[in-house]
Amino acid sequence: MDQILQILAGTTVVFQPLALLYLSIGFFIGIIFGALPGLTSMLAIVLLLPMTYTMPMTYALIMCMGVYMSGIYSGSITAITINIPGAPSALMTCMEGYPMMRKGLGAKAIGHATIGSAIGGSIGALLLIFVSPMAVSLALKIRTPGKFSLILFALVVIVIVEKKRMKAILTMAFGIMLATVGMDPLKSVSRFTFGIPNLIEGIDLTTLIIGAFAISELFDQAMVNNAEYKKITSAANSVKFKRREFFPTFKEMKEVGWKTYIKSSFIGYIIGVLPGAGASMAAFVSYVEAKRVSKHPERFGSGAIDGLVASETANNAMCGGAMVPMLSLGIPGDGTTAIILGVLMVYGVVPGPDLLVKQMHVMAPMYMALLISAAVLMPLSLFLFGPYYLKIVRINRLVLYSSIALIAILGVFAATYSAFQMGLALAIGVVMYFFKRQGYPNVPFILAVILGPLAEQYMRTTMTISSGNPLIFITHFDSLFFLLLTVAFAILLPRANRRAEALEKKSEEKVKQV
Amino acid sequence: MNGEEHSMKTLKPYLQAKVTIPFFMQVALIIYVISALQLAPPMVDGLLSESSFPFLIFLIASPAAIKLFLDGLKAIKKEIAETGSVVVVKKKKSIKPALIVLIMAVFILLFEILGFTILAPLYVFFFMLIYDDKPQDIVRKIIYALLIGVVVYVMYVIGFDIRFPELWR
Repeated sequence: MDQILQILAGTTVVFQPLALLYLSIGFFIGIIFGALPGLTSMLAIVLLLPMTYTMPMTYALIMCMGVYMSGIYSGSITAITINIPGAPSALMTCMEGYPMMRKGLGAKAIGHATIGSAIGGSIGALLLIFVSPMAVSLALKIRTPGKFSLILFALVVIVIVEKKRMKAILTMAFGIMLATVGMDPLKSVSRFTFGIPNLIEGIDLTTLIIGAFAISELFDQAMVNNAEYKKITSAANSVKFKRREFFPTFKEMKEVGWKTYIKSSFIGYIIGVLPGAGASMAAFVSYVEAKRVSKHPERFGSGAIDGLVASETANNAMCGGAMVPMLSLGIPGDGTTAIILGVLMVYGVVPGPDLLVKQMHVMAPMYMALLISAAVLMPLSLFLFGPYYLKIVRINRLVLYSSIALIAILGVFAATYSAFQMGLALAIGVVMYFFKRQGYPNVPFILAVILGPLAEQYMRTTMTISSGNPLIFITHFDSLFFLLLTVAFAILLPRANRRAEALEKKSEEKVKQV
Repeated sequence: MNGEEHSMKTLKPYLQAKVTIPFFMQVALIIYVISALQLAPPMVDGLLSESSFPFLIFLIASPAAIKLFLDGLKAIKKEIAETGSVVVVKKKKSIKPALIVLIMAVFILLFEILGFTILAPLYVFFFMLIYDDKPQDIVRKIIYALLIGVVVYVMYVIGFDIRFPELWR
């Protein structure tokens, strides 16, 4: 109860002028990065990471929350208007949004997506506020052997939820290899430095993140033909919506039904809690469920509002869910929360079950910032800026990417003051670019970078405590619980995945047809 | 010479990313584990040493790398068997990523010598030039490069109090 009160007290911090300014900046950066195909809210937070060094941690986290929530939402804008999801999580939105657009109901589709995102985001944030303090009391019971088993569980689940599991293992191994360069966490020995003095301090987290996510993306985007891009986005440029067209009628809202909003929110939230699952999966599962229970499943694929609402509500509700394991257990729920955890680590915060207990005063405003970001989606998008969102794709691509290129590479220097680390970021970017071209997932990389060194530390400490007896992982109840959970997920998740993958393949084909 | 040419001819189709990436990852894993084992064996006096975790990673990731490598080989062999000759899947190829790597590398090498003010606008200009479909709107690109340089300078140096190297400093 105390912690819930502390969280609510965080509201006063969020409403301070400077905090509101950072939240607004984050919100609009998220809208821009989410709406532009190729850019994501995760990349926005990656670029903000080095700038947070000189900011108070609370403000940095508040800004991240704004980016996170609005970035997931705004992926729906280009998904609806030009059938290209601005963010991967908006793929299901294309299925229903674009057919609506072709029927001349584009503004209404954006209106429904906005309301769904606002409701889903708000419910997700409220659940986070009330659930994570409860999770903390349980998390505090986790001792060192349990901490290792918990990380093992997270790493196993991250691999299992990926479609290409072998590739996920390799990306994860690459992340751990890089994260273990430098001083050993328990002994005064340097590892994997190969006689290079600059490597003794290890590879900075900012270097790893910017290299893997920003620089590799720049190489990938270099392949895009500007003329083609302009041609595709010109369709969105020519669209003009009036404000009143955004508002859905009460009848339409009633047809969607409050059950769809609530159920999709819970689906999104629960999927968010799963490590590595992310917004795309949340949107997909919720969409499939909406189709299953719909009175008119035949309308799906040709502009079903309930399908659009289900996917948009779930992907924003996921934000709250993904924060639960991050805050209560130190395990990020998706790539973006992993980067947010990286922001915390920049400030010297060690991720783990006692994170909230030690840092609640700093974290509290973050909860409220997430809730406010979700709640303001509706008034800001429907009453004020909605028509202008369509103009985001007009931003000059060359200016945008060259700015990102400069900000990214200077970001590494700002964080490390080392040209050597800039070079490392470039090298990591090149490797991750090749990985990406071959369909290697990048989320396991970042989670491995953050969780790998902790897993090593807990494993070796536990074995030292038990004088080398590995049975300690079974004799401690918390550890045994997570090990059994790992086994259960390893058996059950692949089955669920196979069904989901088959359905997803069908849906993707349908999007292409549309 | 003929033998060498022949082996090159037979190897070439296999030099595709689906084979080379797992191959190089396996090489990296071997170097990683050897480097770790040179420090200490995984267990010392019944306790885990500094090489234990890297050793564990090697044990987990190696089978994945080998499987991907063999899958890649199998896929190429199948392709050869089906088409009768080697048809390298034509992916969109461009020299642009390589040029971006080059200008980034030059920027990093010269950054501490020439400093932000001289290098940043040049970097942005060349970046835009490569990113564009063809060399066009040069004057506009120069103006954009200068503007971006100023905005990023204001953001980092004035906004976040970060000191970049300069030629005169």
